[in-house]
Amino acid sequence: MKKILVVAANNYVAEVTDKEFEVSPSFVWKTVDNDDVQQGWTYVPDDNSVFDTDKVWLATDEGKRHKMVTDRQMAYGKIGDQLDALYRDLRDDTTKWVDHITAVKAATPKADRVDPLEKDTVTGE
Amino acid sequence: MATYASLKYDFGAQLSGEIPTAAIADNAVTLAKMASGTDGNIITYDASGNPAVVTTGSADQVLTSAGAGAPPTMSTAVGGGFSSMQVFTSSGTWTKPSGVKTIRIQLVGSGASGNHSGQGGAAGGYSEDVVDVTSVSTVSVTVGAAATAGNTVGATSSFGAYCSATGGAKGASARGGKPGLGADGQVNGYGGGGGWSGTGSGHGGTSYFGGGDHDSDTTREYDIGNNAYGGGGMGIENGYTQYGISRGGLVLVYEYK
Repeated sequence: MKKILVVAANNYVAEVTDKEFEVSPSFVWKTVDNDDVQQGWTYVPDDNSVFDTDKVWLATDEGKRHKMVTDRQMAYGKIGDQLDALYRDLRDDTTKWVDHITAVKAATPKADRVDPLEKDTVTGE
Repeated sequence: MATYASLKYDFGAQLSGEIPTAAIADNAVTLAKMASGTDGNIITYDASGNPAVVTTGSADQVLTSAGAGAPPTMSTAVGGGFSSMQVFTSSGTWTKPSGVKTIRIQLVGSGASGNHSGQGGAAGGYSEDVVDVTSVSTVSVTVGAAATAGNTVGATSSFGAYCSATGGAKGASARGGKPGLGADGQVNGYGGGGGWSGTGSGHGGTSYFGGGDHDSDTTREYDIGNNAYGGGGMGIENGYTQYGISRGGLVLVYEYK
């Protein structure tokens, strides 16, 4: 059982704590039977449950798209490092940068139901 | 040799008992010559222009004009000036000093710390309120603690049931932390959100009282906590083990008599 501080207007879980304290009227204390609950989750008054707001959002088309794009951004690496790799490829007649980008795209495919004609916002590909 | 004025005075006094104004020299009437009165009364003039007294009021009352056509009176001061303040950087109890009638509260929740995925922690929310405390003696004060470990959420600050502000959130799902929010004061606001960079460092959120620690692409000085009260900690890019810690919340109580 966890005590959570909920924003009454939108059921946002603002805090998870072991001890209640006095708060102003826009917030309410609830006790839920979910020890995994974290700040940022959403409280459901109907059945006194909570769910991971981000996890639910990431399962939507928009969320999948967001995750694919950001995963690729992180995997591509810093622009400066990429430019350095391009410079070395040109200097040494190698294809390390292209190989790296290709590997990232293969490892992080476009999410399901993303428009196949839509370009990658990072590479334009 | 007697002057004309003194002769006129002598004869006039004997005939009618009056002393002509002209017969009294300037600065001649001393306090001792005035009739006795009540301790604390003040001499004034009534609407007819005749001398009158303003009766002694109670302790701490002030002389208040009633405008033209009426004498002033002693009355309790309306409002009052700033008297003192109490600063809370950790939870406790506010106790009303003697004579304080009104307080102004400013508070922020604490910030969240950053993580190793480049996600900056958000700042705590802000709330400000003015409260009549004539019938209040003490109020419970909660101050959100700083997030001194990485990837840790901020916490709520509250001034009893009057106003509260939640702590900043940590980053998640390739974004910086969502800001805390203030509520139930006369002025309420969000803190600043945490920054995120897919391949770099994300800044800590800015609170009402100021910004987070400096951004940097090196591993120096990430965890020293040079944030403003309620500010979030910086997120450090992938590959490093450090993170920016946040600053705790703050509750300020300005007291007025």
